[in-house]
Amino acid sequence: MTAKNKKVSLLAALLLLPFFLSSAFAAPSAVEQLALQPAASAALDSFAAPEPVLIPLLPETKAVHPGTSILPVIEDRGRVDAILELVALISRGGPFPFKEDHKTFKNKEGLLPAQPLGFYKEYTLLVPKNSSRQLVIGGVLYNLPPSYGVRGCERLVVGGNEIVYYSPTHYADFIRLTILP
Amino acid sequence: MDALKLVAGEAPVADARGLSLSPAGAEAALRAAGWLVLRADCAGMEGRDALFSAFAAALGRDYFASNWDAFADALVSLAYDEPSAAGYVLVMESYASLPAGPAVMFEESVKDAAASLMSGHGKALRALLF
Repeated sequence: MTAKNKKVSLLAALLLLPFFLSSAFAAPSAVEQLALQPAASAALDSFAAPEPVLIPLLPETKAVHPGTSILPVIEDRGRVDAILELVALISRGGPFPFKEDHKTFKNKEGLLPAQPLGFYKEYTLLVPKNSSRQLVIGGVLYNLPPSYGVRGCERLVVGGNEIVYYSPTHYADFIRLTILP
Repeated sequence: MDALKLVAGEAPVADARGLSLSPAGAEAALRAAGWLVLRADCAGMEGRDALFSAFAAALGRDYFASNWDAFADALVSLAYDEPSAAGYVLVMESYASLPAGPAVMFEESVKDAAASLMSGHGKALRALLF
């Protein structure tokens, strides 16, 4: 049984508990209710799940964590440092240098998996001036476009506050990154 | 019809056809008022790449990433790259020549970028369709 299935069946058992009890003691009169109370609480005792079991039912908190290295390997020290710096800034929640940072990335082209609007946030990745326009990531060569304008053409996109993508080519390619502690 | 009145409207995409206004006349009036004008002639355009190339040329660039995410982003980035402009206007000639698919995405991208430019920078972005 997977952890998820366990969670679901525990949740189902807890949700069904009131129905089970109410059908076992269907519509008692006020007097009966009083009389039944000890029995009911005894039944509750036998049904009550130990408290720690409830903890896994709480939603897990997603977060971007800072790290010291990246997979796949990006063969450019300056870019790796810039990415790690931006990831650390994202993990702290800012402040970000541009108003466009931490804003919804709309995924108009659908290159990233379809998700509800607002799932993806984007961040401007500024790289050292005169960074190479050829970049090897995970053994694959990417030809980068010219870096026009103040914000350049490189971005990080974070999905669901945990999945980090790097687009070195102004949203033409997305590389999913693993940030290692 | 006054081009300045047209861009003063709420709609980011304004149909200028059937008005007594020419693309050249609109460009001149808007430039005089401090707007950055990017003009694209859609005649003969078969797809989005031709449109992206036209905007690259209008911006004096030899490259423009061929995707709508990059297009909307480049429009928003005008706030940084052309900060002194009073506003930004895309003058679209022979707009009916642009195929329906790219036209829908163009208008959606302009609307998104216009909302970001206004909320982030207080600058208007408009597309005038001729």
